[in-house]
Amino acid sequence: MSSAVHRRMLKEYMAVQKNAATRPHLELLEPIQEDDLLHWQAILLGTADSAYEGGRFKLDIVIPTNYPIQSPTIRFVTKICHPNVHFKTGEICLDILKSEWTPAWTLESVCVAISSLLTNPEPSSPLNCDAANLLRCGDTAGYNSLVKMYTALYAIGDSDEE
Amino acid sequence: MAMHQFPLLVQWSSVPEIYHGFLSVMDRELEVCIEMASTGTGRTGQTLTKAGPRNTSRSSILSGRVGFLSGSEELKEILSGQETQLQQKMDEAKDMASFLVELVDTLEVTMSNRSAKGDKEKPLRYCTHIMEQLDALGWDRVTLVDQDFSRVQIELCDASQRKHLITARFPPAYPTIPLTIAPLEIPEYEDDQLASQRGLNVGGLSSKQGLALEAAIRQAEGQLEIFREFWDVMQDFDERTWVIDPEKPTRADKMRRCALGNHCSIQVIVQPLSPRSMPDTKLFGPTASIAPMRTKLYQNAGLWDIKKLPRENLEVLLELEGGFPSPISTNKDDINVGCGICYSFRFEGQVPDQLCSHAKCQQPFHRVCLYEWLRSVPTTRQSFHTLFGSCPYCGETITTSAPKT
Repeated sequence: MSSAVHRRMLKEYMAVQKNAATRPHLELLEPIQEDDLLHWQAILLGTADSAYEGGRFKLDIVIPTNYPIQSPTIRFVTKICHPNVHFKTGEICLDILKSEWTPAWTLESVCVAISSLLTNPEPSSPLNCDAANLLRCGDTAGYNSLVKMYTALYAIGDSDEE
Repeated sequence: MAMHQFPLLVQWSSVPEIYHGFLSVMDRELEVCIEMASTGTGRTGQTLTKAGPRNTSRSSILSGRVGFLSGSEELKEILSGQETQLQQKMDEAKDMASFLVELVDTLEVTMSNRSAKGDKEKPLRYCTHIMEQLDALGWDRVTLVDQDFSRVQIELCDASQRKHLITARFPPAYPTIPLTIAPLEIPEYEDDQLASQRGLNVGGLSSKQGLALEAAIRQAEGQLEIFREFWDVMQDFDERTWVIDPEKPTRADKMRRCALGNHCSIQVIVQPLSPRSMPDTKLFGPTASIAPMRTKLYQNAGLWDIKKLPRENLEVLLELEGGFPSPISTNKDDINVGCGICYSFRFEGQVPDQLCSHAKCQQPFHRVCLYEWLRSVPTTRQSFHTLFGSCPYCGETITTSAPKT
């Protein structure tokens, strides 16, 4: 299977390069090293008019050898305040990375899905209870200012820091 | 005494029995000196060290209980590594002659193995013979001559300007042993009668004794003419359609699977001796799409025109407007849609032949890939060898059976 995963990753890599211009919120998606197609990194850009605006969020992507039967493992490297992201580990709670994964997804589409998760949080399955509780109580203003603070703290400027 | 088989060996002494001279193996003479004790007397070799022939420049090869063998450096070199077996043979041999037969046997095997490996110089006449053959043939048709002259490739051109390669192999003992010519790549055909009517040598070019390279080439040219039309037809398929299978068609392949678009394809098996008559066909694809095509194929069968190329005829029969999708009209990626799981078109020799039955999806998968995916999903149900699950793309029910192992 390992040669099959390499061939698929190569095709995804080529497709990613071809589509580079068509995804505004994905600044970067590439293998960390050219010769290792099983370890990628991505940089998401915070959507304008959201609390994440101006932030650059780095993702670490590990491809299992039985990909795409098994989903990739993706976590935030940049600290981010989000109801579905663990603040310390960067773990992401997203159905398509777990039970709803199918081989129809690609790294690119998953990254777009994560990007869309930023502005459409799902507080009912939280990994960050503090952020989720603010949303569940309807304190949008409080939530937004908290997110803005952490974005400014960790994701703006020298944003590649852990 | 059977020693007359070895005319170049001279008896040096009778007690102990010593012969000295040459063994002739594969056109070469090898110096040898051999001494054998008569049965029961045991080893006697030492007595002859002064006068005997074996203390000259020869190197000792074997020195055993019942005998002693020495020879030139060359002989020693050829036999190196086989001393133990030879020693055994010497011990078992009942007389000198039977041992010599064994020795020559061993030498022949070793030397022919060596020359097969090509690490030995070829005699001059070997090369001159081959050169003569090639001179007669004309050097413009020779595309390749191996470094050691053992393999020569000749290019033939048929009337349709297709190039065919013929490989002639010259055995190390050429011209004593005749050359062999690899059969020309031609399609298999069933009709032996028709073949013999046309005076065809079935089974390709068998090189008989005395059949020179030139004659063999002439015979091959005859075959090229017979199959010219067949290759015309196949070339037309290769150039004007997307051939899905075989991946790299050879001159012998009678089968082509051509893409029709929309995940459908048609498999055609052309008859080599009547390539323009209607071939065996088989349609592949989602049932909903191929059913109407099959109907058209049967209804329009009467329109088959033997003057036209089969590809053109199929376009008429299938009512393909604009003809088959071809490299000229379409992009390969639009036709050879890869598997939705591994993204490859060809995987372990398979093409994606499992299609989602949902009319708007029709996503193709390899059986292996789809089976592995469905097995990994907890909601998939299994009945005997069939898995029932959801298409990874549209979520509709999809079934597949276990791939053959």
